[in-house]
Amino acid sequence: MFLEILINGCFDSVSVRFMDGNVSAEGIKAIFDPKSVALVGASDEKGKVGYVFMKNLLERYIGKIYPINPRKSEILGLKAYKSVADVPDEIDLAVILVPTKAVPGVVQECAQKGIKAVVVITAGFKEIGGEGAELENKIVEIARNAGMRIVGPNCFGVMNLNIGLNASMSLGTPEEGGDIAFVTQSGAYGMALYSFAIDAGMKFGKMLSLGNKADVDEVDALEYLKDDPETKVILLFLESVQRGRKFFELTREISKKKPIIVTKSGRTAGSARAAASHTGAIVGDFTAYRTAFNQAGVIFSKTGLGMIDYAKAFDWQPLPGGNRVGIITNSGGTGVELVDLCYENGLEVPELPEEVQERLKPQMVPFASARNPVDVTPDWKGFKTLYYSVPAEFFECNEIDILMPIVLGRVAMDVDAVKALKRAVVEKQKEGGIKKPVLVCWISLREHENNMKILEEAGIPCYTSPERVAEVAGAMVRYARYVRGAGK
Amino acid sequence: MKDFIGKARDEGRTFLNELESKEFLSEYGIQVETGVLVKTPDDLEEIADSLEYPVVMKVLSNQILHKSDVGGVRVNIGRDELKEVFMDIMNSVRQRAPEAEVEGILVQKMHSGHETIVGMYRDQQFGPVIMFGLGGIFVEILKDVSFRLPPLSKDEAVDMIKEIRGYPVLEGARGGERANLDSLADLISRFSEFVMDFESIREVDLNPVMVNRDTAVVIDARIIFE
Repeated sequence: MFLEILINGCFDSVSVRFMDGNVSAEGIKAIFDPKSVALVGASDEKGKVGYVFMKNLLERYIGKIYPINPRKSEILGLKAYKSVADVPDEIDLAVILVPTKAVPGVVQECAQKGIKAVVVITAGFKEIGGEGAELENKIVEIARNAGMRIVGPNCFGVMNLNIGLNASMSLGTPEEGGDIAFVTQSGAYGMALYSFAIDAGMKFGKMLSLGNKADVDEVDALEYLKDDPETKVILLFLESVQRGRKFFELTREISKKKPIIVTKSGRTAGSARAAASHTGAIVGDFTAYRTAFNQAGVIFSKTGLGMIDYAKAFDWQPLPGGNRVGIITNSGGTGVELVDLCYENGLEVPELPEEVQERLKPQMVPFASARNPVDVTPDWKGFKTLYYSVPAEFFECNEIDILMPIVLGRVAMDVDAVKALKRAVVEKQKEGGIKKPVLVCWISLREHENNMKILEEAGIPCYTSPERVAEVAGAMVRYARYVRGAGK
Repeated sequence: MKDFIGKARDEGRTFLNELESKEFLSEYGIQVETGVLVKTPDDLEEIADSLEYPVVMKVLSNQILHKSDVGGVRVNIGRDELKEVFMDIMNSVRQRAPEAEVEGILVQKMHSGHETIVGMYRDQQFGPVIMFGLGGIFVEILKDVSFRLPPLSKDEAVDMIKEIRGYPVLEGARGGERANLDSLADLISRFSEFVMDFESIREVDLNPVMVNRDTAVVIDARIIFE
């Protein structure tokens, strides 16, 4: 009856961190903000990984680059060295691309050189078990003894676009930096999400692929990002959390200042939990994660792509002061649908005050409704007036905290209406300083996507489904409540 | 403080019995109903006059974790039934758990109020997690419970209590008794400190915790450790 179980059984060997705190912090700084980078395995042959990394580094990085390759004296115009030991200057960060078996030797050289951190891109370590796991333990031991940090192995690399650093496998480098930091455990999916986000017009500062998390994990990254003035929003794509309690305590602190958006995959992998108590029997595998996230003000997204939707709103828009939504729509049906979704996400859609309705009515056709949703009906000629004046009223109205303009079909086609909406937001929010978030529900054909760009380029996020608008707004309200509660 | 866990571990056990659990909890200012331990029918005779009826009778054994499963719990017992129930429990336990050594039978006063459950389990990543719910079908069928990571202030405990769907029941919905939220929150907050202090504790059930207008009291408890 007394099942001694699981809990001991599935412990990953959690290695003891015996490093001095300062050394550790300096190592993490070297990962995100290196003054010089050595690329071990650099190549000038197209099609090789070492070439992709060289190209990405050369594109915009403002620090010094040292290509390492024993068979070359020069790579893509830079002097190449046989080993890191031959580099005459100090090196902050080494990126390692050599074959698996050669990695421990290179890590050893880096340690001897006094390099602060290494990023091991190479795969074939713990993820393959047996011999790979042994190799991984070996490189961790070498690094720990030297006080050097390791990212990976088996990862995509690191970026800090605010200093032009792209030490990753990405296709190209964005032209500018930003204030979003993205830490991902998944390599390819993480990279894809990053690309989608860039495509969606989002601007990243830092990106870190954790890979096997042999040494540096999400907690290390968070400790750095916590006080990083260049980071405003933190995205985490996780498969597991290695130091749960520490993660909880840290995220609870960070959330008071910056939103953390987390995707945690593997929520349903049912470990056969046997329990001796009632309490033990009722909990699921994901219970502790969900509890920790909620309690720490962490915004949880079920999917990686969903995380980008959240990030867009949190990065571009202010937090709401309450949960009351103002909706303008040119479709009664969509308006009602969105109202339902709002209530299902903890939001309210109150009727507008009498005097606001009285001001709007003269601008609208007789059968339109000014109550909220403000349904302008297919009054094509009126769109360009109403898509300015209604949002403007929402901004000024004390009964409204969040704006949700529905831009559907004919409004999406009408560039003047779209520009009118943009003008209202720019005047009242961006210039007027009225802190109410605007989330647009955009329902239209692909050929009108250029009009959507008018809004997004002005930092007004658009979502192509009413669910997403309501979910994102619900998350913003919950997070704003957490921040206010923490400030008490 | 007594080393409850160390002592039980030395005896080769992985859990504390009800009496030990309650004594341990009361060290943290948690209100518990201990009752009286009787070993023989003659002991019963001696205490019979001092009891408030009806009473509950429960078997106490270091080998029995789930008392109900072996017919070891009886409720609503009047004075004239004491001896009969005593023998019934003894016989049932002897049959269904023949290997168990019985310390005696606990005789406790019945408490009125709402039945709630306060529990804890240790997650391998996040450490202790606290659970709260209303007892009976609310927790067993509807899984209407809330969770928090400790420690919890009293205010945080109040939020946790209010989070369950069945919360209006505690407010006295449909003419029921209004529960003493302050006492319950205080108990949860103290419990959260308790679980933070002992890393070897793996799971705890305070089930039920009875809450009425005056107070919140632990009626039964089990503490399981590594």
